[in-house]
Amino acid sequence: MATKTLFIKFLVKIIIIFSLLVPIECFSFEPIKFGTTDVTAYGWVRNNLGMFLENQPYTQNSNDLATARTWIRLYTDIEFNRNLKFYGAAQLAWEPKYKVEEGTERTWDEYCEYNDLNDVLREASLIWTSSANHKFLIGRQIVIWGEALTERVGDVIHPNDNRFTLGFANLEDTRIPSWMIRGVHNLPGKSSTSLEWLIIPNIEKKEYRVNRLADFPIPGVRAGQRFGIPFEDRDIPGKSIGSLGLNAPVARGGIPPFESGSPELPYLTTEYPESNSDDFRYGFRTSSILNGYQFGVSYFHTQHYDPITERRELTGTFDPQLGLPLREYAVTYPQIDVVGAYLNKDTKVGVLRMEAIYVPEMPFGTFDLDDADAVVDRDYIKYMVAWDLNGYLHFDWHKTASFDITLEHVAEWIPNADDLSYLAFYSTELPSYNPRFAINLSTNWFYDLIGTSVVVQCYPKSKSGLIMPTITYKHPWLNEALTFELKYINVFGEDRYSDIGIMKDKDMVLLTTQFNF
Amino acid sequence: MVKRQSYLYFHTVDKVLFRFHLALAIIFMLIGVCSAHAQNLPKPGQVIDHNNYKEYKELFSDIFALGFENGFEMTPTITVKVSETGSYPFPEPVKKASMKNKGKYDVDSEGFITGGYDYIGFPFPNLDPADKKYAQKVMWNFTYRYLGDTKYGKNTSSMWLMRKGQPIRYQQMDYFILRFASRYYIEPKNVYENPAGLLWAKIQAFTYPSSVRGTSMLNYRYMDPRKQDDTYIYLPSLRRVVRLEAGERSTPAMGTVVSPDDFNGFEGRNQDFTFKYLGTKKMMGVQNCPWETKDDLPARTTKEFPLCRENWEVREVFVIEALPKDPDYPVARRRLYIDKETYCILFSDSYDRSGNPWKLFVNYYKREKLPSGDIMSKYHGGFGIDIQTSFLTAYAFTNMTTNTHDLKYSEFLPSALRTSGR
Repeated sequence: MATKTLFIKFLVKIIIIFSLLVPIECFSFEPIKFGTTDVTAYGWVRNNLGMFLENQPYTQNSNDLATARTWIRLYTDIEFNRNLKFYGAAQLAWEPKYKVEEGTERTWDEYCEYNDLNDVLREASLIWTSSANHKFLIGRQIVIWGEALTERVGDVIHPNDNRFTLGFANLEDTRIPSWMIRGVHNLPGKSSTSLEWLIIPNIEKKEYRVNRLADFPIPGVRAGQRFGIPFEDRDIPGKSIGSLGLNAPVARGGIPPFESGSPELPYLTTEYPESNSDDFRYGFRTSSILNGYQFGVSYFHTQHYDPITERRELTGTFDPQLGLPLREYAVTYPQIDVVGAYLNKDTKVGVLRMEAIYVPEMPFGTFDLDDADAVVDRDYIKYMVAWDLNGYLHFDWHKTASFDITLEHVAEWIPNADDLSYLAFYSTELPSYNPRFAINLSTNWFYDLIGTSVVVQCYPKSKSGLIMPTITYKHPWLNEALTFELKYINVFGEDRYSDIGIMKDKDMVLLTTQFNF
Repeated sequence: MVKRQSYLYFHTVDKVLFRFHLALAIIFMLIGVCSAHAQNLPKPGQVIDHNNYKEYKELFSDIFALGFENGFEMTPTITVKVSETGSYPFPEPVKKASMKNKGKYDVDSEGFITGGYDYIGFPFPNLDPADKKYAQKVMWNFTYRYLGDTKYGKNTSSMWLMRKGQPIRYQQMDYFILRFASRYYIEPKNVYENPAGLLWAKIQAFTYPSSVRGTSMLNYRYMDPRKQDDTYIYLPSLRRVVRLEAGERSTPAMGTVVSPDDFNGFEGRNQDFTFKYLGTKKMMGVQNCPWETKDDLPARTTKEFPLCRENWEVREVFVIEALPKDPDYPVARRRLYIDKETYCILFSDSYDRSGNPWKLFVNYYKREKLPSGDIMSKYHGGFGIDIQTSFLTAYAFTNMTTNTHDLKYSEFLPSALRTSGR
């Protein structure tokens, strides 16, 4: 409680200091000049207030508060001269202790991430433009590749932080930034081609080198976090080992023996990517323009950001309660190479966007009890085709803006997927071809005073999907510094073990209030 | 009253047609003189306001006149002060290049220039009002008018947004333009060859307020007029460059009243419109706006929008009506008032598909000394207003300079947007 009080005081002080620094007339910082150096500071204070519309399974009470996160983000641009700049972003966040998470192993401090540098210092990069054709950036950065807007296809650089979010944080906010060296070069001559390369030495704290997930529940052992994915509680003998190391194998009296011997229990270990040169991430991307087409190719060597569970040797130790031998199951993040290509073109009716990635021999977990390591390598393809019809649908009763439509189709294709499972956690069979479709219809009213949109996404294979209508309002007070967004998120699905259906119990209403300074 | 002539205005075709043209010229001069006499022109130093504007109503566009009458029902009524009519000829290199084009080009039935125009100088320096294609030729001259080899404005473009008379947002942006043809001062001269075949490229990067800071827009217009424009936008919230589409050119941008086709009074592609010549007349306009720096502009939160009240001159204008070929285009009719000497649009009145007055755009220009010492008229500010919803966007381009920076093609690629934003 003392920590909480201290932090609230700390947050209040920061807000007061910022408010005092802000020019009264506009509530926004003016650039400060130090000789030839311009310093501009700006940012926002945001609150997300969300309520679940359904009781959460695997929790110890029925409290509906889904989120009450307050964040402050401060950006700084320093322009030393035309060739040398600095860009930084710092973030503080505060959340209450959620009643719905009573019984979790996580502590309240984890939600107040101001004590972890990886969360506080989001970005800090020095940008050196050596000439009109060459630019170098060094520091902690966020780099987004790809063309898809509803999910990630060619956007493969950063892992995601999914601990505190569902739909209400935009994609940029969920990226985990990376320390990297990066260059952007325009190819010589009269070319319209540029080349971007980057090297990521993986010097983040190890947990931040891969996707971060909220704790999932273990019935009878611990409650899940509110955005934790559900527990695999189906019993699929001979195939499933459920949520590894947890009570499913225990309840069945252990996992059937591998090769020979008595039933055994899993002993879980985790192997995060290292910061040595073997685990460096690196890649490049090109961008060209020709005859109205913008296109390029990309390559990225990285580790799989979602865990793969690998069966290992017996540890030589025994479970003290059941007396069964323990076998190591290692949660690993294996190396992969991602090869990509993208293209966009403004046709006479709408913009066409396409992209695809190919991962040769991508590792998948199988949970196959007859397989030595329960991991197989399969070629993997993911593609996206989208069509944006913006600026065409004008109606006389709504003259100040058009109705804009975006259709996006994404699919994953694994030529031989018979024995594969979803993620590391579910025994659901992974389909060989898994398409999904999304549509976004949006417009604004009274010259952007009010914005309205609705996103519908569906996964035909799992009969799951998402409906998300949103309304935003910009109050004219203080240079439109204050904005409100009300969103309803409805997730549907036949089961909760595949595609977006894993979030099917988390329908919510969400109000986001943001003050820009 | 002596009727001023554009240097482009007269020419001699050949002896056979000489008498015919002379007769036509005399007839038009007589019409012009008669109409000049019919127009009551204000004297330098005179103030035009709510009390006397009806005497001079013909000197303003129809929608602008509402500003004198009722302040567009959102601002105090408009007052402007008249100054001496000045002269704003194009720099000599532009004139020379234009005169070489005399009689070389024509316009085909689709409205495109024929004869292999090289995009240097005005394509039609010898305009003849009797020409059935007069309106199209005026618009091609407008399209290819000289606006500088490069434009550079760092944090110099200001915008005021007002709804029903209340200020709602003040914003600023960087503004950079690189022209690839009609280059007279910066190497490569005449035409800057580029693989995309661009006529010009333009970047607008928002710097203020923080809610839009980092948003940058890149526009391409191609030398080949049959190619549609391309637009890319960098969105900091997505951290990526998103391709926009040609249809967006008629949609108001960034919460303002201005759509890309409204820039500079009119920035649509000529082949997407048919043009009607409605005549020439005298009108008031601002060719030498007195604003020098941001200090000359109203405070950002004031209820007063930056209306230029000084230096309104009597100008002679082409009156051209632009009708979209696309029946779904939201603006059914635009009336453009184009200064005959500078080819700048002073007023643009827009009407919706029901025929009702909808939007007004008023532009101010300023005499600018180029690094070469030449003088030219540059776009300096103005405002646009939707009179149906009482929404106003005013803009000023103080400190934007012409031909002071040697901008390169590579600085106008979509990849440049990614690294200039966060």
